[in-house]
Amino acid sequence: MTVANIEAGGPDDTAPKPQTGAEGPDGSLPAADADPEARRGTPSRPDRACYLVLGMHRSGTSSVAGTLVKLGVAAPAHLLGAQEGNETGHWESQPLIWFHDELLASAGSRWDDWRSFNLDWYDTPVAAQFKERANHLLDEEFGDAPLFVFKDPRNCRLARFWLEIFAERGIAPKIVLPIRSPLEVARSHHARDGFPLRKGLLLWLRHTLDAEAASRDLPRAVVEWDAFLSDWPSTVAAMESTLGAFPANTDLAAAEIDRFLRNDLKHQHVPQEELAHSTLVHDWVAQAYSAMCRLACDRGDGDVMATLDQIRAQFEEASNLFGGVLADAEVSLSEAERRIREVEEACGDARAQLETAQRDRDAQTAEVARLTAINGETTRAREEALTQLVAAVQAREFQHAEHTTVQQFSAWQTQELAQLQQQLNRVRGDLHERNLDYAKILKSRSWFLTKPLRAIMHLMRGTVSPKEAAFLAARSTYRSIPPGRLRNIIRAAYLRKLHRRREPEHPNLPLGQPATFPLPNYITYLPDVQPSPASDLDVSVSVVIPTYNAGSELYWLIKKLSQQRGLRSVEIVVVDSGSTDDTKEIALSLGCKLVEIEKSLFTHSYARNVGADASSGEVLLFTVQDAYPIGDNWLSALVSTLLHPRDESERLAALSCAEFPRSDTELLYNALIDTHYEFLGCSSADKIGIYKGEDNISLRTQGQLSDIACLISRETFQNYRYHGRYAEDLTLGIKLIRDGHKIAMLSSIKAIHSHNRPASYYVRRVFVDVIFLKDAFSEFSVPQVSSVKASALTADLIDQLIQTVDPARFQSPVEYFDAVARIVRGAPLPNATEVVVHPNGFEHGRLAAWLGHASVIDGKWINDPNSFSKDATQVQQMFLDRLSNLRAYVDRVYLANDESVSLQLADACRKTLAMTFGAQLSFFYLSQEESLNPHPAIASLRELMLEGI
Amino acid sequence: MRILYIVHQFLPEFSAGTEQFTLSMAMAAQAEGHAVAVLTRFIDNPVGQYDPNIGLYRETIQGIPTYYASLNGPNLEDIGFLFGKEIVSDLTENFMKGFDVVHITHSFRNIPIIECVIRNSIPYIITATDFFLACHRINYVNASGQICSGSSMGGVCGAACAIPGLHADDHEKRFRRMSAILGGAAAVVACSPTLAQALEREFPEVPIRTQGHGIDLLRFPHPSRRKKEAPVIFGAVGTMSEAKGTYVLVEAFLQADMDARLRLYGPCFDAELRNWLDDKAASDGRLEVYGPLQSYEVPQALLSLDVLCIPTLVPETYSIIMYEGFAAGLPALVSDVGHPSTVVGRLECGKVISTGSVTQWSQAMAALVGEPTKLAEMSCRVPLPLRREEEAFVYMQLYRLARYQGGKSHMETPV
Repeated sequence: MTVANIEAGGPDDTAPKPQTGAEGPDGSLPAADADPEARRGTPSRPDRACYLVLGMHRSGTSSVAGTLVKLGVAAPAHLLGAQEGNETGHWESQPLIWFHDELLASAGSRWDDWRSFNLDWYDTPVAAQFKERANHLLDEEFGDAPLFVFKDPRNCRLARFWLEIFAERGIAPKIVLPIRSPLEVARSHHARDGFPLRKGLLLWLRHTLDAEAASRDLPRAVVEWDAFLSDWPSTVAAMESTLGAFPANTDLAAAEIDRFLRNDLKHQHVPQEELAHSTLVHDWVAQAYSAMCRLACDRGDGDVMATLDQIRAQFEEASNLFGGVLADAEVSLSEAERRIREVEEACGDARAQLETAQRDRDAQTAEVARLTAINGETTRAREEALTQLVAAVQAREFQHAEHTTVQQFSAWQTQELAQLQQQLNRVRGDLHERNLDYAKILKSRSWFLTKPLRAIMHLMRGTVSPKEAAFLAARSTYRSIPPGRLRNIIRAAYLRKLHRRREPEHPNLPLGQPATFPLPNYITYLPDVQPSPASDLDVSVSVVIPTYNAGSELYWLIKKLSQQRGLRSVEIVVVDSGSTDDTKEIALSLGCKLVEIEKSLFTHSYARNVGADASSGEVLLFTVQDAYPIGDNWLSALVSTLLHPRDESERLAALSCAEFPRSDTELLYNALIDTHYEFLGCSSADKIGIYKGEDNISLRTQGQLSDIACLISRETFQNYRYHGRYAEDLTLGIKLIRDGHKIAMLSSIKAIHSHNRPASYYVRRVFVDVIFLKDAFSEFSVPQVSSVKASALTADLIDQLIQTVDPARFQSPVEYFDAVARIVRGAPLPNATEVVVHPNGFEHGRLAAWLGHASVIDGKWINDPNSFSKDATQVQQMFLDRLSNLRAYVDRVYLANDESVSLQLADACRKTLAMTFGAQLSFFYLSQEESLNPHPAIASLRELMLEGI
Repeated sequence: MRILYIVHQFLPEFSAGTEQFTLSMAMAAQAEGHAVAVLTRFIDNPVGQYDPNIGLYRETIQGIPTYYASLNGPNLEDIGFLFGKEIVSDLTENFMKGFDVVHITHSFRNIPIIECVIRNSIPYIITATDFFLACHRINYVNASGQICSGSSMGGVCGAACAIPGLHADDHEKRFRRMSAILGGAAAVVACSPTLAQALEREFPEVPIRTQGHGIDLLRFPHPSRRKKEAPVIFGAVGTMSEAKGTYVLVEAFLQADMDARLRLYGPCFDAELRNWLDDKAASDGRLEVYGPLQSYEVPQALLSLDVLCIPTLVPETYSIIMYEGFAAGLPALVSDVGHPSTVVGRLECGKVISTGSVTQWSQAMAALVGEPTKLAEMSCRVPLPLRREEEAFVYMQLYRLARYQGGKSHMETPV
């Protein structure tokens, strides 16, 4: 028998009370002979149970946890993926690992600490905050799963923390204790982490003793890993006899487990004899292992428990005596190793620089050779000229002048040669410094100041229009001004000008002359504003709508599309990606063609391309589930604009509609759309986009199409199709204009659409937008950000400051923004010694967990002592800039304040901060992504930010 | 754009259809990025704070700055008969000059203000939600209770609907005044074809557009099929009064011996009617009388019905509740006057019944209860109502049209 089933009143009939206040005076865990009844608590029948896997790192905990999952026990939502050394996965929650690391750090410990966990920590206020977050994470990771597996080797030392939470929530713990030879474990750590073997053995002892003591009176199964690998069915059967049956212990599961538990999972093999005779293995370790093996073979007896208690007491004493000193030494050693790594990295960089310099030197040598050859030719030319000069000494006056010129030229060439020689020497001398200077130059003000010149250069080359060149020059000059009063004044003046020129209507028509549609700035109009004789278009149109839990709005949209007039036929193709509401039923009941795709396969491009492939219309309209046409001639008016332009100069390959806000829209969204349309030039005109150049401003302003409503002929679409995970509409538009097509963003015909999103969405939306812009446009520059902690602390500080200002106090809405700006500008920014206690993910739980983790390891990214204050200042300044934009919009539109406006102002202000933070995180991500060996957390950030966008 | 809405009365004092339409358009324009304000009158007590800079009281209604002038003109001025007397202060006139476009959502009480708009060459559009522009009695029903067959440029009004103290030519002057106001507008919009036809008949030289009112469709879940075996539930939503046909409807329902329910929602300001309804409800459990509804309660009330009844005795130029009923999937029984009868008759999404006929109403209800398939067929023909945002977009385009066209200060203002 390989599993010891130590019962404590049956598998499911007891809600064990975690250890609270039952520790010994020295902080050690309760002795085995403590009153078990006192620790068992009140019996109850909880609805939920958790398989809590308490095993030392590298002890087979992953294979045991994975087996439980295959037997029907729920796994966490966000798993840490497979890695080298653990190829079949860890079966651990990534957010909970981050959380544990934070918790351990807050108690002055870390995962590879062999000392006892500081029990005083449980009485600190921080412990309560961690408990609140732990509850939240438990919900996020396991939802309301009735039976779930929670595995992280750190749990051995944190068992008390979780058992308290389980008891409060009525979750019954079922303990699984995997045991592996301590020497194998130590060798595995040595191979993976470079730990000395003795340290690995101490870690094994700490984790094993803590796990055993914490679970002694709970239902538990001790699993010997070797035996488990060789005969897992017996082990599982034994576990079921004590911990209860597994939900899916089937033949199918058995086959899967057989595949899962490959023999090569185990990389270290130590014969028992070697363990017994190794001088590395202290008696405590050997005895503890022996005792645990006995527990695995049978139920154990008093002797075994007494042995373990005795070892624990001695170990605690030794830990208390030597732990601090050894820990300090470890820190010193670690610091020294870190410095060695830094020096090695610096050497590597220096070597790389040297190689670059050598390559540059070779290139310069070649250049000198080329110039020398030219010089030889020049010298020969001079000699020939001299000869001619002698021959023509009696010639006419103009020949004399020519001679003089040639002489001057020759002298210049000689001088030039000498200068080149000097220059070559200087180049050689400066070669090493240039690489260092280069980076400084890129960041220098002069680089910014010369941007206008570069813009002029673009202008001269014709790659941008004069207006765009002026704009680029002005913008770069503005950006070169440091944050402060002057910059604010310029910005305010610009925004005033920008908002003054809204609705740039043409001069009024001559008196008495009636205006008609289309108005002068428009190429088309909606028949609802000026009825015209009906003439049906002999065109079939397919409308493609990607859906996910669309609800009633899809019903209304399909009804509206179905009653569109003036076309031969309208086909509606719904592409659903796993809706759980009645979306599919609505689509089918209203006669739509339904295409189903897996949720995991969904991207905006894929869903639309699949819909297009399934459709049959000659013209395709791509729209979204929460858009809505205006009037019953909306679709025919769009098709007519595409297929029958007033003249060939308005011949389009594709067109899109601007949005008209829904009645439940929000202030911030309106402001963003307003700014966006002003940028595109479709605020009060139909914008025809044509190719003007490769700079990002030209491509974005000219190439914009919109998913809200994008009309294109099938033939054209199939030549291009959608591409990319995001911004697929812009990508399509850019491809079209690059190929010489024209496209349009219509303002004369709009679609009803707007959003009212939570702050957490705006964090991610802006992150994704910046990533896209950087991916798509090579010259799009972003600032370097290296401190997550500075960014998170500053955003959280501003969030708290915002909430101290009540918008209802102000008569005018802009006064509110002025007050917020004043308080944010005047607040002292956080410093590097502060700790991120409660990460602010703007109500996004996983982001908060990531921020907590990233803040703890913040030092990994910081390579400049000024980074912290620079990054904090940047968050502050970016927020103030964005707030200034919002203020300008509100100043133009909102003339008065009341309760409804106040609510929107506060909401918009906070979401502006969320956008700022999203931008800062994207800058951080892009800064770190470029490094040679980005930390795994960088990839995690990207994944969690992209999810659902 | 800076857009000023002018309406005869407004929230918080009044919140009927025209006031809601005005608020809805102003909020939509604001959401689209325009600066908006409402200019109106207070009726009972001043609303908000007095602003000495513009000579008006000021309050903010759901984010919309609203300015209230006092109601100090005589009734004759309200209905467009007081000629030549200037009642708009210089301050208020200056205030109005700050706007690019004016939208007059009701002309009642506002004729001098509209003339001030014209004088200052501010482009404007007018929406007619009732017959006021053509009829000083507003309802297009003459003093004898007959539906008007045309005013003949005001000539008929002096005889058929005389006002003590006014001469016949005063009616013609009023007509010319209204004609000039309509002629100066960049667009004149009627809320229904019924109203548009009447205005076109009265003012043939003025092009009249038709634009129906939209509803807040997002408040409605998609309708589900009714259970065949359940009793049919008829209902009416809105003010209960004799003119709205409440007596006719209740008597007709109680006359019919059928397994059905009648639910009435809305306020009742007529004590006699209220008592009568209470008595009837107490004696017949099929009749259920409820009080006024908050706007957010309307969808749920409608969704509890199978058929909507609009038994009005006077012509309705529009019926928001009929369209909200359509959003809830309800066919309608309507009187044969006004806009609802035109829509239901054309689309056959209900039945048009002789106005005031208890017998015909009773027969129509009994027929529906006896023939469930008929009810289902009618339900299938219920149209998709217009959304509030669709209406707002059309008006935004008309504002732009007005901006291009500019003011018409050259136009000769009457009187």
